[in-house]
Amino acid sequence: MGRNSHPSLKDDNDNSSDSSSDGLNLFGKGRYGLCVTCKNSENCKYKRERAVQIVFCEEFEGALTENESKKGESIDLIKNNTEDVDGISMGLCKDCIKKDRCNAPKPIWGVWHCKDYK
Amino acid sequence: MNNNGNLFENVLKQLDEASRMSKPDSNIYKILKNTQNEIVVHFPVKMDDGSVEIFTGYRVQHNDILGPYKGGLRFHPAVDLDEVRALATWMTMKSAITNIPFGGGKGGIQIDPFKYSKSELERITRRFTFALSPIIGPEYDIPAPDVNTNPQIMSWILDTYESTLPPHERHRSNHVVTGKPIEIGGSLGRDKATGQGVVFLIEEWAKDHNFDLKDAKYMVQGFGNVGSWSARLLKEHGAKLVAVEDVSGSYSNSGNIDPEKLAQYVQEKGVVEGFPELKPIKHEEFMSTDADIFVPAALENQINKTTSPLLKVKVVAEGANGPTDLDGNKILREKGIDVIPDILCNSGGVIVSYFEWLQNKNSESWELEEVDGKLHKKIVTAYKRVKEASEKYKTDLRMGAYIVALANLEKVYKSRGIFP
Repeated sequence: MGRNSHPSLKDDNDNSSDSSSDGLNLFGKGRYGLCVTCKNSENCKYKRERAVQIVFCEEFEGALTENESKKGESIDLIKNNTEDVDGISMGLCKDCIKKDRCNAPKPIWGVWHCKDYK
Repeated sequence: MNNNGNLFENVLKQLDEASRMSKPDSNIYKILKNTQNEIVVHFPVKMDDGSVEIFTGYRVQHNDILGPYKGGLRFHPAVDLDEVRALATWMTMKSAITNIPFGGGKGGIQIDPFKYSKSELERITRRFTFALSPIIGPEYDIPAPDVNTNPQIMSWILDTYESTLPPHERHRSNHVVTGKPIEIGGSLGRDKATGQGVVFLIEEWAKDHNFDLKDAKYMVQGFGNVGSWSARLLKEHGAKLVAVEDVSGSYSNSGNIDPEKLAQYVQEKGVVEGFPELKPIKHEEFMSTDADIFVPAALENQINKTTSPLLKVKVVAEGANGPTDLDGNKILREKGIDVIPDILCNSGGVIVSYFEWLQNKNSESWELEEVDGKLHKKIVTAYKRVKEASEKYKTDLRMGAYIVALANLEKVYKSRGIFP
C-alpha cells in the first residue's frame, strides 16, 4: 500500500499498553491525531487526554524524518516570517530598513512592489 | 474513550442542545446532520526513484445552501473520512455564524508530507488536484490551507486547476483556492486575521461590560500564530501579558511580558522556554493566574473539569478550536466566567479568506486597513447577533452562536425549499 499506508505506521519500539483498538492510536505511546507526526510531541507539556485524537493544534509542527538530505526539503519558498530575511538576495527586501519587523511573505524570487518599503 | 474528549461529539452535543432551545425545523436539522457529498480518490504518483505510489485523498462537501463549499486541505496520516466529515460540518457552522456566503467543506490526503521530497510533494499535490478537479471550482468548492499545507501548496493547486481549463477561462479562476501567496492573489492581513478577530471580540466584550482594557491582565496559552498575534494586539490596548504557556511549559512574569519581543524570540527559537525574565511555573499555577482575560490558542480540551475550577479570569476568548470541553463549559458557566466561543472567536481567519476570494473575483487588491476595517465590521456584527440570541434564549454565547448558525441555515432552506 505504500509507505504512508494508514494501518502500517506502527512504532516497532512501542511497549505501551496503549495499543488501542479504537482505531485512533496510530503509533502507540499515547500519540493520537496530529501528535502522531508532530516534532514537539515527545516533549510537549500540554496536557492531553489519553485516547483522544487531537484534530486542531496551533502549535503543530511536522517532523522531518529520516534521509533529511532528500526528504523534507522545505516547501516554504514563501515564508510569512522574517526567519531567512538575511538570505534575501534580490528585490526590495534586500535593503529595506523594516525587514526585521516585517511579517509579509518574502519569496525567494524577491518582492518588487511594496508600499511599506523604506 | 473519554466521552468528553472527542471534539466533534462535543460539537454535535452542543448543536443538539442549541436545537432543543431554538427548535429549528426538524427536517432541516436532519439535513444539516448529514454531509452532501463525500469523495474518496486514489491516485498514482511517480516517486523520485521511479516507483509509483498510490495515495488516498478525500474531499467532503457538507453543505452548500449558503454558498460554495469552503474548507482546508490537510496532509496528515491521521486524515480519514470521519475526521474530514466532522471538519466539514464545523466549517458550515462557522460560515453560518459569521454570515459569509460559504458552505462547509474539508479534505486531505493521508500522508506525512515530510517523508517526501519537494518535487514528490508537488507531484502528489498536482495529481490530487487533478483528481479533485471535477468537483472543486471558484464558485463551487474552494480549498484552503490546513495542517501541513501552506501557500506553496495552494499555488500548485491553483496552477494545476487552471491548466485543466480552456485558456480564456484561466484567469477567471484565481479564487479556486484561498491562502495563496500575496503575489498571486492572497490577501493582506491574512497572517494576523485570526488573532485580530480574537482581539476585536475582546474589545466588544469589554465595551459590553464597561471593562477597561488598559492595565487589564491577560494570559495566553499557545504562542503560535493565533496566540502571538492576540498577545501583540492586546498590548496595543495597554493590557499586560502576565502568563504564557506553550509546548515547552508554563511561564509567568510578575510584571509584564513584552509580547513583541516574545514573538520575535519564539520565531527564532521555536519555543517560549529561555525567554528572559520568565519564571517557569506548573500548569496548574498557569491556569490559576490572577488575570482578567484568558486566550486559549493552542489545542483542544484544555479547559476541563480539572482546570476550569482554577480559572480566575472574567472572560475566556477561545482562539483555538475546542479548547473547552463540555464539563469545562458547564463549570465556567456556573462560575460566571464569560466565554467567547471558538466558532465565533477564531473566525477572523475564515472571514479574511472570504475577503481574498472576493478580491480575486473582482480583480481587486485591498490595502491592509480596508481588510481590517471590513473584518472588524463583519466579526462585530456576528458577535452582536450571537449576543442577541444568547439573551433571547437566556443562555451563554456558545449556545447563542449555534442558535444563530441554525437560524441562518434554516431561513435559507425555508426560502429555497427542499428540491423536489
